[in-house]
Amino acid sequence: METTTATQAGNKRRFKSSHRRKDGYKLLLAALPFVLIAFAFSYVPLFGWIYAFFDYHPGIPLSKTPFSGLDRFREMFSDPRMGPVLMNTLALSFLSILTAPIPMLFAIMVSEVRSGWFKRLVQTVSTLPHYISWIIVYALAFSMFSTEGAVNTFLMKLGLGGAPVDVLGNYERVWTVQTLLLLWKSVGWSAIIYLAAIVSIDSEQYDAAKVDGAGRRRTIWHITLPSIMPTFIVLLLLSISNLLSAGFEQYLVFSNVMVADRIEVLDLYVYRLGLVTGDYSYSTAVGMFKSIISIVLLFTVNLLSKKFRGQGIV
Amino acid sequence: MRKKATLKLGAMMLATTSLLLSACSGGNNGNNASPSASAPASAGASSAAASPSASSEASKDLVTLRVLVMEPGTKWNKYNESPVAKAIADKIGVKIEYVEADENKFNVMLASGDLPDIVRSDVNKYQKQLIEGNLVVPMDDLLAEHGKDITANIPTVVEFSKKNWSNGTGKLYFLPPQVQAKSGEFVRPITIGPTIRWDWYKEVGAPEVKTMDDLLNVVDQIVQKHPKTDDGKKVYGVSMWQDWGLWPYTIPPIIFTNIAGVTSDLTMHETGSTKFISTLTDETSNFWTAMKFYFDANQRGLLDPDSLTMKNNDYMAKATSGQIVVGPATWAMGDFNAQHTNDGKGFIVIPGGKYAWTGEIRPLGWQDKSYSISKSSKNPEKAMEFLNYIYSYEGARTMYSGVEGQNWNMTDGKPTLTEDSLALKATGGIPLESSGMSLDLNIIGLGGDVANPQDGQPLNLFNTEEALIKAATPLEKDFAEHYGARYSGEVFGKLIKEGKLVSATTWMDNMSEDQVLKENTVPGVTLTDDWKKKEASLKELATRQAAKIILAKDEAAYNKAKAEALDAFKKAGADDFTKYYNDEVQRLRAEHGLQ
Repeated sequence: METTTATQAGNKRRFKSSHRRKDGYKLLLAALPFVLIAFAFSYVPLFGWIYAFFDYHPGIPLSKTPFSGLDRFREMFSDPRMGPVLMNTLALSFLSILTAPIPMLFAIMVSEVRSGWFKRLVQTVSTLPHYISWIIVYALAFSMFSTEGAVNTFLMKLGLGGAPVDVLGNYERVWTVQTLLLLWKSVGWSAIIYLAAIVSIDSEQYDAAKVDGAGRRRTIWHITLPSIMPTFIVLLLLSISNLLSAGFEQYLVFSNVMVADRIEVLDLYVYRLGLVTGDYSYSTAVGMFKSIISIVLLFTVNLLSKKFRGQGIV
Repeated sequence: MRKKATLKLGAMMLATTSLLLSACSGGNNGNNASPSASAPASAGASSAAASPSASSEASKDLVTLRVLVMEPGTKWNKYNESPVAKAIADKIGVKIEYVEADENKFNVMLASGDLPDIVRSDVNKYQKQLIEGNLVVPMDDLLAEHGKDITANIPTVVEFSKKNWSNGTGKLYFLPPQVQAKSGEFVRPITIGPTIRWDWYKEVGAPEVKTMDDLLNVVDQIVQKHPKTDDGKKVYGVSMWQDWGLWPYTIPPIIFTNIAGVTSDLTMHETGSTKFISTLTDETSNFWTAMKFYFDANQRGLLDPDSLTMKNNDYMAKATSGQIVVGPATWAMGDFNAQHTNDGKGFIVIPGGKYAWTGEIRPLGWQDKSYSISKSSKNPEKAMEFLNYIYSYEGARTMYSGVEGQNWNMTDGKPTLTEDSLALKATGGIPLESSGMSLDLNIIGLGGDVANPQDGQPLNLFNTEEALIKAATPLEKDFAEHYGARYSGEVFGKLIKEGKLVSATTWMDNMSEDQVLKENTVPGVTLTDDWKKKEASLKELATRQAAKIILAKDEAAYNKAKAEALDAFKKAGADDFTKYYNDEVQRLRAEHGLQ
């Protein structure tokens, strides 16, 4: 891919003035593969929505499958599990939105670190968890937090607390635990965008502020924060449109019978219905419902953004 | 110049596009052709002749048959050069390669329509999809041409299959393995039941275990004596895992209640009875017996606190390190026994409760693993030849007992295992596995206790009394001696004869052979889609309620949680399910000409 863009750039320079139009086509053509890929992976699968309207069983072709119309959607509104599942999804999403400022604050703190090597070290260490898959995170969490895990053993050795602390099977605290795990995994990665935004702030502003006698806290408050606020708002709004996609793998691997009632989010429910119970049609219907709500949310948020900020996000 | 540059660019783009597209479609194909990570070598070569690089001469025109199995964790592919595998190759010129799939993967394969040569699946669950989807072929013509032994040895199964497993077409599509119309004469080492640390159990005087309460008392005594393992880890009394659904609540209590399920965990019956009770709302059921057991265990500090969060492999690690006193089966104790073959320590199933897990008769074999030949197979004839082999006396004998002249010899018209084979069996582990003998029972068409009419001996020569005595491990010998028997199965055999324990066939003792056959060939209840859905949601509900009940703080909280759970189960339709199931059982029995 890089070679293509490099060639493109070369071509561009050579034919800059007189062939602008042709270049436009070329660029369009160069983008074509990605458009095709987006089409193939994001739009072609939408064909699968058709299964929500049939009584589908794998193996039997659609032509021989009875048409069931909107039955599945009706079923959805009388499904007693839908309520709790939506509740879990929204709760976990809100909690993650609530923690959204943390990566921003983290980025500001990192950018204020003077020592170059320490800054890089912190950044690397905090970004690393992003690359660890959830199943490994689960294994780590199990060896840390199970009743025989490192944390409990340590507490025992110190003679603290009689009964071992049960973190993974704690019904009351499961949302907190999951939010903290998610935060641990994502804070460094999410901070990268803010760090980039901070780097792009005109350094003259800081110099001017210093001349005016502003200390570090004041420069952060009056320059850094306002400058990265638009980034924050855009990310926040986007995450609101993602309210119903609270995540999947995390809750899949951390689910157990003790916490199942409060950890089952919409995506997990769709998975369980479709792949575990084998009810593909119903599962597709629920998935469709989720996509439609998400699209509605996205456009609502966009509309609000246009109204109050004067610019949209999509 | 300009043209050239444009051309170049265009070509480059085309190349990238096609590369990207082919990469993704290639990925898809790869997935379909080689869905098993354990069989990477098979990619694309679905049923073509073995690769030319195959070393042995004989394998030059071997046909590789890929068999879809729905049991993750099989060992067949690991030993596909074993003497037994070679014997199969020599005889019928095929090499068997397993393709493992769980239900998810199987469904994806069903949807894509690309199945391995042979499919081993649950006939009651999948016959409709497989036949209506035109994914498997009728075997009738193939059977006539290549299936002599099948027609001769399992005519009942063939007839039954045509009638009940053909989706109404009257053709032969499915053949289940492990067909065995009579139970064996001698009891083999029992694998399911209270599996306890034998050396510790003996130490506390090996008290009799009548109920699950007795069992808990024994565990309590043992844990008090041995609070830590040799390397200082905490010893728990009992534990379980959570990724097998209701298994820990429905299966282990069978020994004590003599109540078991047939095609659903939600309704079970006393062996021999035709009346099914609800697992969830009948308080005498296995589920409630288990609830009381685990609740009491937790109250007495004997339940592993991770029991309700652990997955099977976490549990197995604990079992292997010796932290668990009693488990539900010998294969549920990790590698502990394998790691302690010499010092006499180990887990063994002790007699207890009411039921001994032995003596199954299966005139229709294991229906949940029924063989069918896929439409996409390029070698249906070879596949049929292979099926014929596994249902032939010669083939089954080889697969159980090894190769004649190598693992066993004919002496005076009687097949006898060599001393080496017996020693191998007693040691077990990898050497035994790599011999290929009895490596995977599910693959073999005829049951091990079926007698070969030519010599009168069971197909699995390890099932003869002589072999059972000789091939016993030191642990089994010690156990048997304690109860005044020669091998571990004899302990149970005596108790069954004395009427102290029942086996799976006890209720048929006074029946004629025809009656037994009739009773055991009633078609099982097949749940409709709606009931399947209800079953799944009830099971899910039950596992969640179970956690609350087991961890209740005290007796009062337990009773409250119990009342709530019973209420929830009733509301979710547990009783309706049982009623439907009982009605179906009655209907099917009536249609079969039984009361």
